[in-house]
Amino acid sequence: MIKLKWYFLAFCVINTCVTLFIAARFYALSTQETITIDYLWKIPLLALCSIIPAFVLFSKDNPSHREFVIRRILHFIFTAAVVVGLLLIYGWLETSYLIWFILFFLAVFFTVTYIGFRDEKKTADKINEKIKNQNQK
Amino acid sequence: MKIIIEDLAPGEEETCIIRVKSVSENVSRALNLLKSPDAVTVFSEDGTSYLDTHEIYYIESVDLKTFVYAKTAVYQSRLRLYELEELLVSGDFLRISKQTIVNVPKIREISPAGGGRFTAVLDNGEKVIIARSFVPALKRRFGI
Repeated sequence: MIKLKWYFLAFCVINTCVTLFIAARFYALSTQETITIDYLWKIPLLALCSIIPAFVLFSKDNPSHREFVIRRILHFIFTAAVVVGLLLIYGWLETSYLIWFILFFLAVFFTVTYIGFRDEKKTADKINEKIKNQNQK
Repeated sequence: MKIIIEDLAPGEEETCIIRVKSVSENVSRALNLLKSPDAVTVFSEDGTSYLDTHEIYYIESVDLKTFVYAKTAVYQSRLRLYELEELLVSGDFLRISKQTIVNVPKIREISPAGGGRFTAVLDNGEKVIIARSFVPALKRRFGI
């Protein structure tokens, strides 16, 4: 359930961020380029593919701390590889805007990581509240 | 619900009679608590002894050996983890990973450990990991 919730949230966040990024890019450049119907499929496909590497994080129920850190690093590398691969296929990777792509990727990656953490923190806070109440009785 | 506690005469056997129209969740929990043992047999270098279940913080299985952790001491049990789980889980104990059973009232606080896992800090300062697939059971235990 936690996994499914995480995948759904990550998909929604990436979808929104990529759409906003594309909108900002077109607005900033003021180009005459037209957005084709393909974009409507390419954006969710990019979001879907970029959440797949999360299996590295979730494939083991209770990894050790060291194993978990390695899994986090692998998750980052695999996600970056998937995103770069798809951007190359789409023809969206422009070398002149590479720094913006990198900053955008990092911002989305850490936003999704933070959302996952925030969700876990909320659960922990609810349980801690119950523990506190039980201890007071 | 009316609760009657009677003092027993010396030599009389302790008995608990529960008179209800139907067994509610609370009654069921009370029954489980009454049925759970008060102590488990453990052994250490000093020999075999009985350890009160209230003194147990958590139980861990490492390399097919079962270790029972009290506040400052560690004991071993001849029972496998699943056997202890069957004995204790009806009471205050809860399975939190494939290797660990924790005494829930000994949990001081919970914090996120990443990847859907949590760290439980116990009253004696020790930390145990709650595996992702056991989090729903923990949430149910606390009524969340």
